[in-house]
Order: sequence, then structure tokens, then C-alpha cells
Amino acid sequence: MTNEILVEIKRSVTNGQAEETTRLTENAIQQSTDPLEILNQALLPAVRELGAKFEQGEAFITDLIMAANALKAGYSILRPRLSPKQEEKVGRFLIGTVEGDIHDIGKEIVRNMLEAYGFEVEDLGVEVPAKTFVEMVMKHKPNILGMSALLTTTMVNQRRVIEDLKKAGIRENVKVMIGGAPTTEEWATEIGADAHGIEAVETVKKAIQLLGKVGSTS
Amino acid sequence: MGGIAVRRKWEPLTTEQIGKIHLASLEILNTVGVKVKSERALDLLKEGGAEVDFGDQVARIPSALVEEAVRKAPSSFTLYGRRREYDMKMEDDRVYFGAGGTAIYVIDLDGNRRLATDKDLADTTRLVDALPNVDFTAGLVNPHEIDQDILYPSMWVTLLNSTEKNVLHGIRGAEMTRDIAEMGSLIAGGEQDFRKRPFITCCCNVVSPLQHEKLMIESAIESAIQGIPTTMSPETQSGATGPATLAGTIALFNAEVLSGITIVQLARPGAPILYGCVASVMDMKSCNYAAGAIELGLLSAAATQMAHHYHVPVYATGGMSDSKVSDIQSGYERAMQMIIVALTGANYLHDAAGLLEHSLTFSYEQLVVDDEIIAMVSRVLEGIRVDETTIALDLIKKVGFHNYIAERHTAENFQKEHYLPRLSDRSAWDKWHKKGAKSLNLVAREKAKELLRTHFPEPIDKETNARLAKIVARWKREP
Repeated sequence: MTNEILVEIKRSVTNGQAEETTRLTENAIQQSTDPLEILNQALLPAVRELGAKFEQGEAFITDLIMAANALKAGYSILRPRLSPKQEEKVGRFLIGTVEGDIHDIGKEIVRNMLEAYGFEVEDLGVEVPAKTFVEMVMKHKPNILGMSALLTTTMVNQRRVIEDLKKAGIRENVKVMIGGAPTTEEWATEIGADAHGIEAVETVKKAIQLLGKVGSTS
Repeated sequence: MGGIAVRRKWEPLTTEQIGKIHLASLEILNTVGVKVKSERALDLLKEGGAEVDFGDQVARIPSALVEEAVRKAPSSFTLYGRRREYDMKMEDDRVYFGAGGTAIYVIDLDGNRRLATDKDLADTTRLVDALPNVDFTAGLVNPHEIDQDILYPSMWVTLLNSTEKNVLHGIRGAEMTRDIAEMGSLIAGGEQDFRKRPFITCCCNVVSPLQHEKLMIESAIESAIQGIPTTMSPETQSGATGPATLAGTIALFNAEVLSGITIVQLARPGAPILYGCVASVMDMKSCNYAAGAIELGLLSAAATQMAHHYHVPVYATGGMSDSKVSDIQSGYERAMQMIIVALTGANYLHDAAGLLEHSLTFSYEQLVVDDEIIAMVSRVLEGIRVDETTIALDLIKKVGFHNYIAERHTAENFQKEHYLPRLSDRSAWDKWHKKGAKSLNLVAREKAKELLRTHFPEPIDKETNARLAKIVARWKREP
């Protein structure tokens, strides 16, 4: 009985059906299904498996994001029933598009993926001044700061922020990832970023890897 | 040189469909409006009669204002070269082809992919200057070693030194536009001379959905005031920043272009503006802008029809590829796109030469190959001449059952009627094998080297260049 409903929930997430996922999750809760089981055996695996397919070029981003939204819908039902320990996020990620740049579709895709993979994401939006990035790092204490830039003339702000973090004495407290079409691995290395993210799921995996190193001197 | 007027256009949209899209765009502008991140542009819209929320920076534009702007936008104007032979008349169904850019990498003359330099910008531009079928150029590559504060002014100087054809590139804001206009005046030998024959075009992009970025829209406004023609050009990605259905993306970018034309015509009525489109689809597996998608061609074809409907010349796109190298994929993607857009009578058909890897890489050898593709497409646009000479009835009667190979008519006409390829190899296998059995991209690479060895545009004198350098230096910022 439990297995059947878990399979159904997993299927509705895979199919990107947020409302159906909500309904099925509510039913499952009413039938005393363990919320942690719903999370770990239905909601999360659905997205992980679709994510793996996406990495292999066998699934579409639009389906992956819809699945992520369905996961979030189901998760919002579970949340009040999870203990703080169970609710714990993979990590905290602060994201934004740099000053002078209003492009955000790439950032939106990455944000969705991070949330689907269990990150708590604080989105600062677009045209974020360097000063704001630094202030928000101090305020929210994220594990990772991610910055997007789409113009060759705004990329420089990614370097500016890293330098300002150093000046504020907090560069060691946070890992920095950068992305955006004109950015390259070489640019990321040149400006002292910790990682460069280009593809949606790959970026999340790099972020998870960075978590292992937060607080270390690497 | 291009400028062939297409006589029998391909028109994928019917008049009724154009009408539906137009009405949808007007409704978008009346209801959703556009986000305009510029006080100057919002003021113009407010004064013009739009409903403006300065807090949200959103303007809802009434249909009457849009239609008035479209009426004021000129239906014919010239994009000048520094040489008269490079002048391009933007009107009706006259088609010019050119290179486009802002690539980050190059595939260089050793076949290596690496970050572009200022020398690459100079050389690729000079190569465009040398190629007979590439009518105009743009900021082809971003020199990675140039400090970003002076990047754009520096690129303009390199560009203008490397070609006498019309140059299109972005300009970051109103102040920079005045500086670029000053550069043009210095090169032309005076402000009046430059205003009479501006050889610079401003590239202004709209960010889908429905957003005008501050520096872009202000460069368009200032260009209008300085007498520099501008584009108004969305790069919508269907499925990501526009609806997944093509007609929805067209209605969306059409609204964006109309809003931009409105702003520019309010700034200066009668200012020359190109209806622009660089839209394509987002590839749902790679999340990349699909530069090689055939839908890019369809969208630019539709944009051309919409622009013609408004009697505004069009800046369309066609001739790109998602391939990382100059291979088979590169060949078919770009050729198919280019031909369907050209056949709709797109006036300024750009990105038609040199680009690979969803427009991130510019390739010297691909540029040379594309010169050939453009020539072949141009031949299609020329069509088939049917008259007494070409039907050649008397000749056919005379030749009867013999042949035409040694006829005077053949000698006099074959070069007019048959495109003679400069690059494509038609030789027999043995001969081709004896020559080294080279793949075409390598032949093109050799040709690129040869052209760069021998071709140089009219230089700009040292004194003028010193003054241009001073303008660039104005943009240096303290670290």
C-alpha cells in the first residue's frame, strides 16, 4: 500500500505535475506514510533520476524544472511534519546577476536545480552591486556565492566582488562560483573563483563538491 | 557587393497572420507593457502619451503612439562605408549580407581554438574587408586582454582601422555614443562629413521578455540624436525567454521592437532604425541558444515580413551554426538558415559569416567559406533571366542536334549566368587527390592566410589615431 503511493508520487514528480503531487502527498500523509520516506523514496529520487538523464542528454530542461517545481510542491506539504534535523538543507547558496546586467534565464535554471537538489537559495535578482553581494554574504553566511554575467563588459564585476570579499576579510568564509555564457574556466581561475558552472546539473554537483571544502584552506 | 533586390519573395506568414501578430503585439504593449530601465527613455514615453510607472519602470504604450512611431520611422536610408562602393541602401527587399560577432574565442589560422585578442579583431575585420561578398561587419570578437573599462571604445578603434565597410557594434550608453560619434567625425574629416555619411551603426539589443536595458536604450536614443543609424534587436530564446510556440515568440519580439522604435522616434522623429531580430530557440537539452536551429531562420523570416509590413528596413540573422568546427553540420545549418531568410528580402542579413559554436567562436576559415555560401545564395536571389537572349531560340534552332560548347553565345553568357565557385571543388577525384585531397576548411584556411598577407584597407593616419587613442583613454577607470 505504502509502496504504491510512493510510486505514484514519484511518477507525478517525474511528470512535472505539481498539483497532483500535492494531492498525492496530502493523501499519503493522511494515510500515515512516513514523511521522510516520501521525501527520500519518492520526491528526491524522481528529480535525481531525471537530472541524471538530463546530464546524459536524454531529458529536457523544461521537464526537469517542472519536476523540481512538483518536488517543491510536495515538499511544502511535508515540511511542517519534518523535524529541524530532517529539514536540514544540503547547503546555503546566495545567487545573483552582477551589476549592469539584467539577464537571468541561466541563473533561474541554476536556482531551480539547486533548490531541487536540496539547497536553500537566496536570490538577489539582477543588477546586484558588488557592495550588496558582500553585505548579503555577511548577513546570510551562505556556503556558496554564485554570480552570473552575460556581457563581456559586466563579467569584470565578478572579479570586483571577489576582491571586495577579500578586502572585507571574508573571502575565506565562502566558496565562489561564477557562470554565464561569455565566462570560461580560464576566467574563473584568473579571478580566483572556486568553480565555474556552465551546465545546469553539473553546476549543482560542483556546488555539492565545494561544500566538502567550505571552511578548509583549499 | 550585395544589394540584390529579391523579386519573388518567400513569405511564410500570410497577410492575415501578420495582422493577428501585429494586434497581439499591440495588446502586449497596452497591457503588460515594457520594462524600461532608463529615466530618459521613460520620460520620452510619458511625454509621448504612454502610461508610465516610474517606480516599477514599466511603460504601457497605447497603439496610436506605436503606429505614429512606425509611420515616422524612415522606410529607406543608407548605411555608408568609408568608400562609396560599400554604401548599402536599406530599402524594400534589397538584401545585403555580413559578418556578426561578439564571439569570445577564435579558431585561428593554425586551427586552434583560443581566446580572441585585439589582433584577431583587427585581422578578422581586415579579412571581411577583403572578401567580395561580405558587405558589412561588426564587433566580431571580444579581445580578452583589453581592460573591460575601455573594451568597447578600444574595439571601435580597432574596427574602424581594419575596414572601410560599414561597422556595427554595441555602444555602452549615451556618453560613449557621443565619443564614438566624435571618432567618426575625426576619421571622416569633420562632423558635417560624418553626419552626411555615417559609416557606423549602433547595435541596440532588447532583453526578452520585454525589457530595455539602460545603456542599450540610451545608446539607441543618443545614436538617433547623433545621426547614427541604430538597430532595435531582441534575441529571444523560444521556450525560455519567449513562448515555445514560434508565433508567440514573434508576437513578443515584435512588441519589443515596436516599443524600441517608439522610444527612438520620440527622441528624434525620422531617425534611421533597423527592425531587428536575432531570435532563436533554446535547446532544451544543452540550455544553449541554438544558433544553428532552422527555427532561427523561420523567426528571422517572420521578422522580415513584420518589418516590411511596417515599411521599416530589417536587421535579420541567418548563417550560424552550433557546430564547434567547420564541418558538415556547420555547412548545412548555416546554408539553410541563410537561404530562407535571404529569400524573404531581409535587408541587413547579419551573422552570416564566420560564427561557430552557438556564436561563441569566430573562425577565420569559416569566414572564407561563408563568402562562398553568400555568393551562392546571392545567385539564387538573382533568379532566372527570361528574355530573347536567354531563351536563345535562334541559337537552339541553329545548333539543332549538335552542342553549345564552342558557341559565341556560350562564351559570352556562361559567366553571367553560372556562379563560378572560388572555393568549392568540382574537379575529378584523381586531380583532387593529386592536389592533396584537402578538406575544404583547410583550403579556406590557406586562402585566409593569403588574403591577410596581401589585403589592407586605406589606413587612418597617425595623427587621427593618436586622437582616437585619447578618446579611448577617457574610459580608463582607476582600479
